[in-house]
Amino acid sequence: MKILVCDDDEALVSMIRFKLSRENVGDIFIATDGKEAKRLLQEHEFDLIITDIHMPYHSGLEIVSFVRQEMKKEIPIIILSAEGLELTVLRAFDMGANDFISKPFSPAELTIRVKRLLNLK
Amino acid sequence: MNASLTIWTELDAVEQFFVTLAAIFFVCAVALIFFLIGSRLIKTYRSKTETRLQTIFQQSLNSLIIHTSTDRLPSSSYQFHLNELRKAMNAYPCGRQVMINLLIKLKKSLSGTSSKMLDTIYLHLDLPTVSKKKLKATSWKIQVQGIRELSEMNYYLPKRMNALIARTKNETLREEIFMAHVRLNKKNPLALLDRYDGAITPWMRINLHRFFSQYDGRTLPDFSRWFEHPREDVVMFCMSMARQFKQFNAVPALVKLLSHKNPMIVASAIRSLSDLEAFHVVDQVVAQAQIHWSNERISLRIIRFIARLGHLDAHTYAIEKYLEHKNFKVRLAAVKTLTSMGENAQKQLTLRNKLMGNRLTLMIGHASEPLLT
Repeated sequence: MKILVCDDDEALVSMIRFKLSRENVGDIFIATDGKEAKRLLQEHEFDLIITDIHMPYHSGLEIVSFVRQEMKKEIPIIILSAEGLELTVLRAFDMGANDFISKPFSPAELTIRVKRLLNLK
Repeated sequence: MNASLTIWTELDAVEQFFVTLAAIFFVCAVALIFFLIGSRLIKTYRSKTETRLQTIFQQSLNSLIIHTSTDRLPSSSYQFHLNELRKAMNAYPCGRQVMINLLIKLKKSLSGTSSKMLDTIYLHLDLPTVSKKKLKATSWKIQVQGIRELSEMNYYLPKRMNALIARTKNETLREEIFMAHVRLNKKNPLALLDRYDGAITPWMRINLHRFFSQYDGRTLPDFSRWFEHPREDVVMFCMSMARQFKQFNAVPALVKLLSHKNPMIVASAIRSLSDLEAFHVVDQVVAQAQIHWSNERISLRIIRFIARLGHLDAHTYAIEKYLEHKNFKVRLAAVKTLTSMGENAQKQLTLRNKLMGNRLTLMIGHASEPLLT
């Protein structure tokens, strides 16, 4: 399994990578901005994407749109954002996100949601 | 040397003055260049050290914070990682501050057991001492930093800082103490509002909204409790919070505010009732039209309230009355609302326009133009 984590907060990304690696959910790829995320998406076949909304170059919502509209792929996408406004959440789901987690979040909860979307035990 | 001395003695007084001036400027320029290069080097070194330290800290922190209440880290492992952090922290003068910054950064993104673990690490690494030292600084900026660190990491604030909220003339410091109280008082975050006589500044509003957005809706304070606060900005703020967090139990208190002496509060109360979709109090809202007829803000709020009903009913007469209002904005809002309320309302508007000598024709055209709406 390949998971792409996109967030410009390096400390958080490092923690997510550590947690998911420890749970053996697959190989974790990191992108700290939207441009890098798009590049990785074109180079690899991912099974899941976890993305923040506010990132340099391209936002998380742009990444969702890129995957759904341009790449035409049904990869599960989890939006991880501090912006928990109803409108943002609705927009994310409308664009094709599969799940939305508001920051602050529990790493344990994130793992459960990742496993559920990957159909892992 | 002798040649330079000869040239110098050959110069007249004015020339000597300008040469001296040029020499001073030259020395200052060279000193400035060295200073700029030096400060840039120090800044780069500091930034690199901070990045290096963060990477070192992160490894141990990851191991400590990802554990849950059912999957506890053995005590020996906990102590081992803590010692590793201490060693790395003490190796550099800026180590403790980098650690505090990293803990706060992670705290903003994490909740649950991981967040509690960050508080414990802060405590066990004796970092509150570093933050508390800042409270004694003469610079208010450093004091503010200390207050923020302590409150973000769920550590109590010394009593003398609490007293400072009433005494200090420094607005930022007062705002920060207020926010610290909100963060630290988990059971009743807005308890300080009862005895707070300062202003609720835009900065505080933003931070309070952000803070409560991350709250469990069921444990949010009942904002209507402060609808009778002596400070009107507190009342306005609490109304906006009740509105944004959809506190339907605030409706009776909002109806009471319709008779407030300040029209701004009345307008805000109508807006809140509208956003809370309290359409059962439409009679009380429409009654304000007569009392505050000349007030543009209230008139617009009443029109919007009726517009949200979305259909023609007994209250539409209130909007029709606004078609003859002296204020252009109010008249236009009334026309727009009637245009959007369906065929019957549009017919009524056309009839009204005829009775008014076609004075509304241009407005109706504007409101019906899809490119303008």
